[in-house]
Amino acid sequence: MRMLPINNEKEQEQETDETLMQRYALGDFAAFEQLYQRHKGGLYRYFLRQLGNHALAEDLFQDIWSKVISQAPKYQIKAKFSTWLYTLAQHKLIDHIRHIKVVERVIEAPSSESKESEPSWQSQGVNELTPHLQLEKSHASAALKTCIQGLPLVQKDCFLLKEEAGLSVDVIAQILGANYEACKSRLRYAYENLRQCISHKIGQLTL
Amino acid sequence: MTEVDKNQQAEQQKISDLYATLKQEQPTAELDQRILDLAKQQVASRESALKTKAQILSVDKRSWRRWQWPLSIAASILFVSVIFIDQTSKFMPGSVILAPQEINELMPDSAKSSIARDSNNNANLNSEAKEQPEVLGLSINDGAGDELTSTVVEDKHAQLQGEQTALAKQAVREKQQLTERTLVEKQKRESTAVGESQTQLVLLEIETLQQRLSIKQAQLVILQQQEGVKLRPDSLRENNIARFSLNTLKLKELKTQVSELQDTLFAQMNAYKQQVLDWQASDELLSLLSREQQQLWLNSR
Repeated sequence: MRMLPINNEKEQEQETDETLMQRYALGDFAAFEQLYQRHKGGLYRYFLRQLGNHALAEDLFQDIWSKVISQAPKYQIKAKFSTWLYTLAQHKLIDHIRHIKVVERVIEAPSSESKESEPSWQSQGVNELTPHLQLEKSHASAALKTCIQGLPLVQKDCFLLKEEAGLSVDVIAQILGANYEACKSRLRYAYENLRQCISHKIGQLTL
Repeated sequence: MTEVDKNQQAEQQKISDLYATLKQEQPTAELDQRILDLAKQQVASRESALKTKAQILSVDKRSWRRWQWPLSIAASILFVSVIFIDQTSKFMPGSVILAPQEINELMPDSAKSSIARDSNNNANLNSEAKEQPEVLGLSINDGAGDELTSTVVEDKHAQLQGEQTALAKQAVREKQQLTERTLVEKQKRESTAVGESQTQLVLLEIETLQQRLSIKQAQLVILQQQEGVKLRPDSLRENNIARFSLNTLKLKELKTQVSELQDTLFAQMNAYKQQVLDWQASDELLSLLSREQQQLWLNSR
């Protein structure tokens, strides 16, 4: 079965996300339930991929939805719901990272792109992959997961916002507070690094 | 789009497709429930807050609405009263509101006796109605009869009040007229007194003039006599001429003075005559005037 293009499907969902949110603001709990079911997976994985820890991801995940619930009466359609949701998530993530000092790299402007573009997996050797993963052809997925973990934060952000939230480059730029070209190059680097990472781990990437 | 870009897009698509297979992690059921419960709780709290607010508003509305009509009626009455009082004071400024005591004081005695008579009649009417109900067609024990009696009494009382008011007004008018007459008479007396004092002054002036004129005329006579006696022979002609000239001057001067005094006296006499019509000048006074003036005086009488 041919899947619908992601953009159109997302557009349809996002067209009604705002309506659902407004209905919830007026007291319709079912509208919120529907909205939650749509976005819970992507938001959860966004935190999970970023932090690599289920507990932390759940905490931040709950915080974000609490904020959404509390701010529902004040919700105005200035932007798409998903844009608003992931903006909250991104800010929360940054605050958390700054607070716990999880990563060693400093979040910088694009000028330090070359530094950031250096994925951490490069410091990892092929031998660090478990033997189980090395043996399976479908280990590409697992490799990808690992490679994503090794991406620089800004590239990972761009990648996950694109893949999990389905946002366009200009919206991602808006969320990250960067310009369009910078986000575009970050995404390009992200994909390139992931490709190289996967190839490095399991050989040529063939699907 | 270049080949490189196409290849890049193709690679990115592969990774996206690969990543799509990874989208399996989901939040736990407990986490879901916690969030949904929170959302439900928020809705419930918002609804209760709204209900409380609505209740408060409805209570306020009800309590306000309860007093809506009475307040609006009271405001309308107040407004009309203010306008009425204001207009009344503008168009009826001369109205005099008298206290009952003032009415009684101003009322003439005839009015007072009339009122007393009427009040007695009123009392008699009441007593008659009670004593002889059959005459008036009333029954003491009948409630309707009592009402009729009270109605008759009230009518009579209203009539009496009207008469009292009319009498009071008449008394006020009479008092005003009396005051006016008194004022006029007072003014007349004052003017008469002033006129009399002025007449006295004129008389004094006339007497003074009379004396002065008498003296002057006496001087004139003496001088004339002296001039005739002291006329000398020709040897003293020059002296006589000089003396004659001097005397002539003196005579002239005296005559002028006498003439002026006569004119002044004549004017004063005429002024006095106008004030006191029956005044008659004495012959002595008239002799002081010139012949023309005497003639005029006699002609004017």
